[in-house]
Amino acid sequence: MNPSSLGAVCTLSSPVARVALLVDAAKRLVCDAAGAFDPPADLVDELAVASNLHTASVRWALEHSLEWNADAAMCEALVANAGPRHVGGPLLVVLSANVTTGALRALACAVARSSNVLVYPSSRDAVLASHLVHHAAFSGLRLVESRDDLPWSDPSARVVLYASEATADEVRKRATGPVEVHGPGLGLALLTDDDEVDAMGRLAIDVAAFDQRGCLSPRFALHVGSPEHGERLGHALFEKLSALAVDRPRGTLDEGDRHAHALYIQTARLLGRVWTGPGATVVHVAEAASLVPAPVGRVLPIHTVSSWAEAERILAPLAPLVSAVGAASEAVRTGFLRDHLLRRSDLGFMQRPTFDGSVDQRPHGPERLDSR
Amino acid sequence: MGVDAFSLAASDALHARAAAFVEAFERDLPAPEPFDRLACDLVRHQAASGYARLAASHGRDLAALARASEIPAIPTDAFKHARIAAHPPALDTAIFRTSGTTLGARGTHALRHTNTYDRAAIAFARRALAPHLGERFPVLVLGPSPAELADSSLTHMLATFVREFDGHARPEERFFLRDETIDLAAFDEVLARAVLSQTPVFLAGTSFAFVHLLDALDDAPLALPARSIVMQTGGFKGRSRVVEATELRTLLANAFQVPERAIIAEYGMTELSSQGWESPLFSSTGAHGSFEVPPWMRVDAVSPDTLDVLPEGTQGLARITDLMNVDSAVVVQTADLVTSHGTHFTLHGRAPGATPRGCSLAIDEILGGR
Repeated sequence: MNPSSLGAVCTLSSPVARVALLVDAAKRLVCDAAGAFDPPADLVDELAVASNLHTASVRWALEHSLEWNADAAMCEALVANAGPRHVGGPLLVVLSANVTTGALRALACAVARSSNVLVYPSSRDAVLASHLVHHAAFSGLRLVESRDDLPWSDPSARVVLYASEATADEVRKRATGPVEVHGPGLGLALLTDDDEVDAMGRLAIDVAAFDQRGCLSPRFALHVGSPEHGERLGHALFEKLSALAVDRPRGTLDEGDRHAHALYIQTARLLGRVWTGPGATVVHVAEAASLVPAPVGRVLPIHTVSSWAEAERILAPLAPLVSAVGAASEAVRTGFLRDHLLRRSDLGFMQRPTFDGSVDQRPHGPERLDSR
Repeated sequence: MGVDAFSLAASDALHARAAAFVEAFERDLPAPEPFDRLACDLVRHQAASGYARLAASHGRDLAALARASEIPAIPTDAFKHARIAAHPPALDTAIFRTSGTTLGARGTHALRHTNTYDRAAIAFARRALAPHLGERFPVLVLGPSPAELADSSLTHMLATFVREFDGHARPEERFFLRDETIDLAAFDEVLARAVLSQTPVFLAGTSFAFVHLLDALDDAPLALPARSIVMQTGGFKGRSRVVEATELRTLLANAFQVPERAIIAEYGMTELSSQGWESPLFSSTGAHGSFEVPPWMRVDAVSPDTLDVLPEGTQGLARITDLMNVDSAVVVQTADLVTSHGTHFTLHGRAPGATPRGCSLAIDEILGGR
């Protein structure tokens, strides 16, 4: 498809209207005519195949993480925080194989900024993006079938790229205009001795959602308190994850995932207490000297440290990669990495951030790139 | 042997038993005791290095182990996050480290002494190299010297070879990569002497250094004396244009005017004390990618899902039992894909990583930097 031959661009001039149109398209995708949540089975199946999630997890994600019920105020908030408006040229959006629901917000942020958006969805997971563009005529979105179809040499174009740094480097070489990069990230759960079993139930929801493949997914938990309580939390989390896996099983682990799990679990057995089963693995490491990264797929290491200062010290090498923190205590979640722009959520809501802008609030613009 | 706290006398006795394996090999005698017996005694000695916890988590009793295949393997990653040593830090005399990661965690292999390591490395290298080079030969290294890279096990091994095979008291003078630049004048001078006397050399180098040398040569040959051996290593980090390993082998063979069979690799890692050498050194039919191992080293393939040992001839992750790892971990689990054939194994490369899905970071991205 040649974008230059696509003819006139969208007709809706209001960014809020364009975003609302997209949200409405999402709603029509997953709800019945009466507005009740009832996603078509073939959509669920398509998303499950693309994401490796179990169909029950896809349904859960569509119901709880896809913002199909965002109201007008939320759309306005998203428009206000989506980033600088781009006029005079197309906004080129290149999506990664995002989490199952991620395309809606990425595209909403794009139409909030421009009425002329060219979208190249991930070749591995184009399902939701394609459906949304199809259902949201007049939103200003147009799909292209190949990256080569994007007008890279157009100096008036601005690129919004959801990709790793390696891909970003390739795109920077190719694009004439500015490039914004939304790179991968990771979430972090913060626990204290005040947290009890119910908090682990909520953390289990965050861990299970998308099988930890989202940039807000908790990949570590830092626990400040006694090692004994940390171990109790670890056991409780494993029990909650195992119970949750009955109705919402973990999706398929591919060959590489399985290798990573086997080696990680063996390493973790040396370092601390391990609970592992068909649906999840939880590790408790007391008095950790360094963080041990775990593979995705409902695997959470809990590291007990003696103080928040120690927690920040141990996290320091990874701090720039953290895009989200979750904690039951508001004081804890707002106080940790205070100077960082992060999503800060209660446990159980890490994968359901308010519809008020990009999910990842770390800086993405050319200014950041130039300083690297 | 029980699972008591570290005993220097017990460690010394185990080093002596390990050395006896090497001595028997050097004298073409049968192994002095069953491989499995020494492996199981080593793991009991190493209980404090993490084996006690690991065995307990697998429901195994270290005291009851009778076969090496029953010993839980310690993954190489564990060396990044915990001290894997039976002896206390005060007794360390050498510490080898892997390259760094974003998390700052480097795999660390602490040795109480290097005598056993050195003896085993020399014995098997001699078996691999002497048929081509004789008992004494010049050793030239296009890699950073021990002074620049003191914590590299590869550098240590090569410096040991310089002393043993080259008889050179100051090994650093045989290392020709300084601040990522090849000291061509010094390299030329040493090489010229070997060429004049037609003495075959052992030339070891990083891919990085070899690529730079090839660029400097600009297609002109630099003929090595006949029967010379060139060892490609990937163990040093550096920046250069990327040349695929098999292509580099061909380029090196052309540049050095040696057969491709003379361009070989060694299989070793920071977490081990023994090495495998590529099969073309041992037989005219030995293939590149296949590695011979000494009798004190066993490479098994294990299931990537369960880490259980697979039958010979099956592809899996390399699980290495190294009787020279006396005070650290006698069985090490790697992420290398191999097929084991008893005294040799075929290396297929690294096990595939997870397919990136979603926007969460993969482990490699977390470890490998941004």
